[in-house]
Amino acid sequence: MQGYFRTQSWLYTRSLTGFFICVLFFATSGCGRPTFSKERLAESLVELCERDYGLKGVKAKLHGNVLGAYYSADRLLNDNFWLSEESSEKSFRLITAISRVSVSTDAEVDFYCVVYQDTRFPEVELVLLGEVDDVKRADMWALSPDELNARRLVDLKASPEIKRGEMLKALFTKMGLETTLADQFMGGYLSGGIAESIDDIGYWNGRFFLKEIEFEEFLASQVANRLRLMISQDTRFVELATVQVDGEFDPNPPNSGFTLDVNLFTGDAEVIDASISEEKLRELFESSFILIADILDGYHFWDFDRARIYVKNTGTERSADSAGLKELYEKKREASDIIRGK
Amino acid sequence: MATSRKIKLFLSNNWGIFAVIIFLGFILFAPIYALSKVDSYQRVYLVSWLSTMGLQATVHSVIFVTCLWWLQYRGGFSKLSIKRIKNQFVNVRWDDVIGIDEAKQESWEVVQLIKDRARLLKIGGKILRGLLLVGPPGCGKTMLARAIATESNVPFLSMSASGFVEVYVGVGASRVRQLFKNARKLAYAYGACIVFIDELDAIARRRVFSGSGGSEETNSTQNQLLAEMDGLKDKDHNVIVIGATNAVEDILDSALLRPGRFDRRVYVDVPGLEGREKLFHHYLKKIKHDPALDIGRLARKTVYKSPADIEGIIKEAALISIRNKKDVVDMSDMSEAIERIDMGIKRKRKMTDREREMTAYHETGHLVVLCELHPTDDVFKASIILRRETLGVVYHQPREEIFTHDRDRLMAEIKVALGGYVAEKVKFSVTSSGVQSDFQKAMAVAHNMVWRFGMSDANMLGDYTVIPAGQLSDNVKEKLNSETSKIIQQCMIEVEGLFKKEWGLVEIFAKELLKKEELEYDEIEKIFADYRKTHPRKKEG
Repeated sequence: MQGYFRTQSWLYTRSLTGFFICVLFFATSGCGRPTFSKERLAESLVELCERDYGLKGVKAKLHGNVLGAYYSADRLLNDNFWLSEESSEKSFRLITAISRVSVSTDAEVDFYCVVYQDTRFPEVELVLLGEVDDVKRADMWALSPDELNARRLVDLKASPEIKRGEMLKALFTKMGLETTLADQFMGGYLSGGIAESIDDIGYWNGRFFLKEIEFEEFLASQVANRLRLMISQDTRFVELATVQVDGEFDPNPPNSGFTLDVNLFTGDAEVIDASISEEKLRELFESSFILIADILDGYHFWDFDRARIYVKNTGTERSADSAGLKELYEKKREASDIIRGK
Repeated sequence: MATSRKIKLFLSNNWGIFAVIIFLGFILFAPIYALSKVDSYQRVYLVSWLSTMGLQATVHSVIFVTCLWWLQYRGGFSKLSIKRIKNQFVNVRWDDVIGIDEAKQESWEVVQLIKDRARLLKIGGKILRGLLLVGPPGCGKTMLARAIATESNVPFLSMSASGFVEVYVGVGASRVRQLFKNARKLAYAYGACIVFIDELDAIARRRVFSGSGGSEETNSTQNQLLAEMDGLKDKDHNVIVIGATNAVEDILDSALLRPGRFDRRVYVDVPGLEGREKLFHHYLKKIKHDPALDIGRLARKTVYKSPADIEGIIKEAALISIRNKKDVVDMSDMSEAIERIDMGIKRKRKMTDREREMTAYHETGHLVVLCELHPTDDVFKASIILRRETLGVVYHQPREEIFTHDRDRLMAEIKVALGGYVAEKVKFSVTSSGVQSDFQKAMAVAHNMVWRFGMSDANMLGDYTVIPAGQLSDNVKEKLNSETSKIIQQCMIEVEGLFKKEWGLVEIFAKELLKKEELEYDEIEKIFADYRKTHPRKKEG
């Protein structure tokens, strides 16, 4: 009988120990480890796209704090040079994949970038740039899907590198040099793979052109993008068929802040420097500063001196300081009260 | 071999523990496994969120346990809003209970028993457990119960039986338990305690044992009351339950009325003439009134009125007096208050001259028959002013409380009812639809006289209404109905005879009524007296 009790005690001890070891093992295994490691981030994205989303031929690259993905397919763009219905679905899947990878990695990824290219028109590309924190906010229901979309920079553009190549070729021809030399020079130049500004981000000739993005720079581009959309969609400015807005952020005090250069065009693309009335301009400035205040409050970003809008056509410039914009957002002051300038 | 058998034995002995371990392992590993399959960001997010679940579960558990504890131990929905009413706040002395002397006398014994409970216990007697106050509404049952509490000087717990009734099943019974628990505690501390349950019929109606279970809740409340009252006997808690109800005893459940429960019943009836006079004296003390007020007449005018009615009349009279910008309440205010309560407020709508004249003769018909032929009632007022749905009214009351009706009185009732019709017929040769309610009343009285009271001349004795209609032969029915008609006809002839003799009086009254619209008791008396001077009553035979 003693043997039985000894066995029973032994089994008890072993069973409980085994149980707790299992618990400990499962509880600790994999909990702290990121799903997509820094070392294999680009490869992981490509694999994920292929495995979970059925997207073959995706190319990916991590450059600084930007994770880029490139996807090209035949008939990706429709006749309006925008994503077709079928392509939208693929685009959504690619954005989902890159978002997943961006948030579940130990690499310091602050922005993600997706470049779409239709094999029929390699000269143009659709570039989408988004902030990783926005994905997290949307995931926590702190951001509506509409706002998330609005915060992304989407631009259809001719590859800047093509433009440069063409310029270079023209220069070489002018200098009487052989254009093949221009191609060689261009090849060497492009091998750097570094873009100078957000506008230069893209993919060309099997190579990503990415750059390390500052948050303020992204914000300036976003403000410019949303301002452009606002002006072109607002019925009050219906006569302004085309609007071009460039945004920059100057980090140097005492004039740190955003500068937005606005170009207004009529339907026939003529500059309308004289035809825009004072009243319309005042409305434009007021609406623009209200929008800027809204965007900045979305990020709680008030650490700058002023925001400045310059309408190139009329040479009109207006500015508002950070405190004024905050009060405008909080509806403590009217837009007309905070706008300064001639 | 031996070891494997030992392991098998161990497993068979401890399979329960292993089952628990496997179950725990499953509920622990399943989420870990599931979490390991999601992206690290999602995992962190889920784990962060899940980590708050412990706190959420704790908060929910605390709320749940608190609710459960409150429901179980603190009364929950059955929580009663009763409070002990201290004797000094009850503040109803024995002398304040007026007009119900008999009920007071019976209740006084209860007070004495409560007061001398120590002596009673010493000689082995047992204190009374329940007292049921039965009677019409407004007769002072609640006041009497309060006076008993004041005089006995013991704690008094009061609540309405409707307070036990709740939509939740079992709450009524729970409330009864709680009430008696409180009462026992007070009885333990103070020697005795009175529990007063007003409107007892709300829970004490005869229990219904139906299959549907619709009335189960009331039954269970009543069962609990019965159990608690029985429980009082077993322990030496001097808890005296006083119940008050307007319902007749037949409605109450017999189990409640058996000895040991409500073993003493006191009938609190409407006050008599003397009682009413006392009540008028009592309530008039509280308002400024004309010292010449004839309280005796007021008491006569308010036969069958309860103390609450009398209090209401005086309050109404005070309001009328203020409206008429008087400093004191006089007889006309009192009279108007009584009429307002009994007959309704005067309406301002105008009748046509023809209608007015017909109404005056119609009411005079009632008035003269009442004065000449009614053996028990006095006329206090005649009026041809619109009230409620009537065009006119003759207000009369018995000179004293009458508890039975003899043939003469019933015949007089019929004659009075027919007086209006005959007067219209004699004066105008046509009659109006205003006689409908009079005929209704006359027929009802005559029908009862023949069918129920055995008062016909045909010697048809017995209450024929207890026999199902189908079992009565057509011959009997015909005979009974013929006797009913005969009574009506006989009364009609008598009224016509009276009017033939006294038509002059009818004319005088009708003209006065048309002139003044209302005739008060004194005016009616005077007209009669004046008329009799010139037309002395001829001796019969």
